Amino acid sequence: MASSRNYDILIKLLLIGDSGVGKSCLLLRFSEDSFTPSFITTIGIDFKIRTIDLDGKRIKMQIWDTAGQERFRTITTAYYRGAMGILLVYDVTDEKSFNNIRNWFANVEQHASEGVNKLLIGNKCDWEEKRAVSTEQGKALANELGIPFIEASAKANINVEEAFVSLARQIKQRVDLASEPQQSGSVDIGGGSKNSNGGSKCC
Amino acid sequence: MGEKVQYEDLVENIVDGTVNAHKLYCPYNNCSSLILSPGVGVLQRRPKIPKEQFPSKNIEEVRSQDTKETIEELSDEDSEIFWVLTDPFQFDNLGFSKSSTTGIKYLACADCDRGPLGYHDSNTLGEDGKGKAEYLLSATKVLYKQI
Repeated sequence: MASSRNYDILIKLLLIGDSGVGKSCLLLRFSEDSFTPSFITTIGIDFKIRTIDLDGKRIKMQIWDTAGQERFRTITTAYYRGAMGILLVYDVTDEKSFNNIRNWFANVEQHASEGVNKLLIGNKCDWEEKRAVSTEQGKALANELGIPFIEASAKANINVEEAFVSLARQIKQRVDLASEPQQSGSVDIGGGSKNSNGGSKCC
Repeated sequence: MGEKVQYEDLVENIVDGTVNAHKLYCPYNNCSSLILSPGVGVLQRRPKIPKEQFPSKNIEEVRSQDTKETIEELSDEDSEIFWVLTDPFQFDNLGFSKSSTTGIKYLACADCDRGPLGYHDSNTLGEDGKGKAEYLLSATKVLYKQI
């Protein structure tokens, strides 16, 4: 076989938030032609691999979507296993999804490993006339939870790349720090890839 | 920046065991997502992408959209050429579907979700899960560009 390792860091990321906030859409690059469902979307995407270059390092991201599990309002511990970063997503046009972030955050605190990096994302920020959650509210919540915040729009391709890159950068810094010899803490960078989940839904 | 071409425009003889010398891209219009970097995949002949039992309520609608070519391709021979990879992390950008009822995971473009561009058959892992994992990217579906 050809070379099997063509990356420097592997990180496992999870997308979490209410159904309908556009989590799956953050993983789509919208193009000129309108989105047409394929039979893949009928079966549902389990995870995606994305590769980025960050400060000269090749970073592979394995990104899991909760894929319908959020309907049950909890995500199981198995899903969090090995996760190094979590994107908490709400819809700026849906106040309920914003208010639910606290519940999701509590779920993450309960199940995810300690030290996991988090990012709060207000999606659909291009939709000003329908906006129900202000940028200030988003910032205030992020401050309260002690995590970074970004507003994004998958549809208008605003800040989506930036969101993933900034989270990847934080994780890389944490991993780099942990791997320095004088540090005693160790970080599990092997993202689990064996679980598969039922059901799927886009935007 | 060279034009993207299909595999048949690139090589005269298909040789098993060849390692991909080009960058491989999503073939669908307006997408061009980079799927695989050079030097990673190994060309092999494998069974064609399995025609899956899709969820019945959606099948007609889905078929009318974009799986026509798949259905045609599945008709004659039972094998085709794939770039074989042993680990999902070898791909640059790619989506992996949930497992079907028969244990097939389909490969889809990470950026536009279209596909299938290949598959992974979890049955090859065997009952103990220690068999060889293969992720098969169709060599005739993706587009190629010289580095």
